[in-house]
Amino acid sequence: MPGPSTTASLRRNTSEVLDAISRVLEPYIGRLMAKTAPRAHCGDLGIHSMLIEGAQIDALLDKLGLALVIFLGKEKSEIVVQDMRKAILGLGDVK
Amino acid sequence: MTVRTLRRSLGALLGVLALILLGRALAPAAVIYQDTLGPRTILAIGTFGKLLFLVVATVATGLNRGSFEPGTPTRTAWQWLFPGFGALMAGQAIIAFYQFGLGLDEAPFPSIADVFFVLSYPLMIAALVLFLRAYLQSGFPVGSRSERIGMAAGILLLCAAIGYPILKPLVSSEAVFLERLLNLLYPVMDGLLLIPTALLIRISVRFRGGAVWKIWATLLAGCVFLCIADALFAWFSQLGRTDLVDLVDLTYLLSYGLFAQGVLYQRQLLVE
Repeated sequence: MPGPSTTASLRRNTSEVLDAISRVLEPYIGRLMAKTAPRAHCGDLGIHSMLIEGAQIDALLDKLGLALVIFLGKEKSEIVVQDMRKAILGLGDVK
Repeated sequence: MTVRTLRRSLGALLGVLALILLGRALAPAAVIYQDTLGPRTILAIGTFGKLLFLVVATVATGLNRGSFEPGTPTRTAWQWLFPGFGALMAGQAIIAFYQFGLGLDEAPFPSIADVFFVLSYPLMIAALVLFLRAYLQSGFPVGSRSERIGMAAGILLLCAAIGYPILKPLVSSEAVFLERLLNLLYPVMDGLLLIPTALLIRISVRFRGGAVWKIWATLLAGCVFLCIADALFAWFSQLGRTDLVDLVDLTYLLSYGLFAQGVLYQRQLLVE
C-alpha cells in the first residue's frame, strides 16, 4: 500500500519506530501480534541495524499496510498506515 | 443507528433470549413457563430470534464483502460466507413458515429446509478455508505449516473418536433412510467445519486483545455452537430425546446470534 513518502529523509532508532508502530496497531491486531508482526516484517526486509532509514520505514509501512488490508479493508488500512507514519514522524531525530 | 449500537442491542437481545431458553431447559416446570411464556411463545422466541440473527448476519456479510476491494483475498471469503449464511437463513425461514404459517408445533424433518441447511455447510467451509488462506498470505506470523497440519490431523482423529460412539446408535436406529442419512451428514459436515474453525481459532488467539480477535472469537464460537446444536438435534430427532428440545433451540440461537455479532464486529471495524 504505497503512501505519501513523508519519511524519506528520516533516520530513526529502530526499536523506537517498532514501538511506535506497535502502539498504533495494538487496538486492531492485539498486543502480541502488534509486537511480533512489525519485527517479523523487518526481518523479511533485511532491517537488522539499530538505526532505520526513511526508505526502510516506507517499505516497512507499505508491507504492513498490505497485510492490514486483509483484515481492515483498503480504506481503514490507509488510515492506520497514516497513523503509524504520524507516530514515527513524532519521534525524535537520531543525532 | 450506528453499527456499534446495532451490535450491542442485538448482543443484549441474544443474552435475554438465551437466558429465557436456558431457564426453560433447566426448569421447564417453573411458573413463568406455565403461565406467561407458554409453549407457543417459547417456540416464537426461538424461531424468530434465530431468523432475526441470520437475517442480520447475511445482510452484514454481503455488506462486508462489498467493503473489501476486488482482488483482496478476504473479499472472496466473505463472498462465499454470504450464500452460506443466506442458505441457513432460507432454511430457518422455511421452519418459521411451518411453525407459524401452517401452525405446526414441530417442523417436519426431513423437509425442504434441509436442502438449504445442507447447502450452507460446504459454502461456510469454503469461506473458512479461504479466510485461512488469506491470513496465511498476510505475512503476519501465524504459526508454522507443520503445526497446522498436526492440528488438523488431531482434530480429525478427535472428531472420529468422539463422533463414533455418538453416531453409532443413529446408524442402527429405526428411522427412515433420509432422516438417518441427514442425522449422520450434519455431524460429519460439522466435523469438517471444525477443522478450519480450530485452525482459525489457533491463529486468532495471536490477535487477542485486538478488534480482529473479537471478530473471530465470536464467529468461530458460532461455528462451535452450530456443531454442538447439530449433535444435540441428531439425538433429539432420532432417539426421541424430547428433553433436549430447549437445549437444541438454545445452542442454535447462540450459534446464529454469535454469527451476527462476529459479522457486525467486522462491519464496525470497516466503517466506524
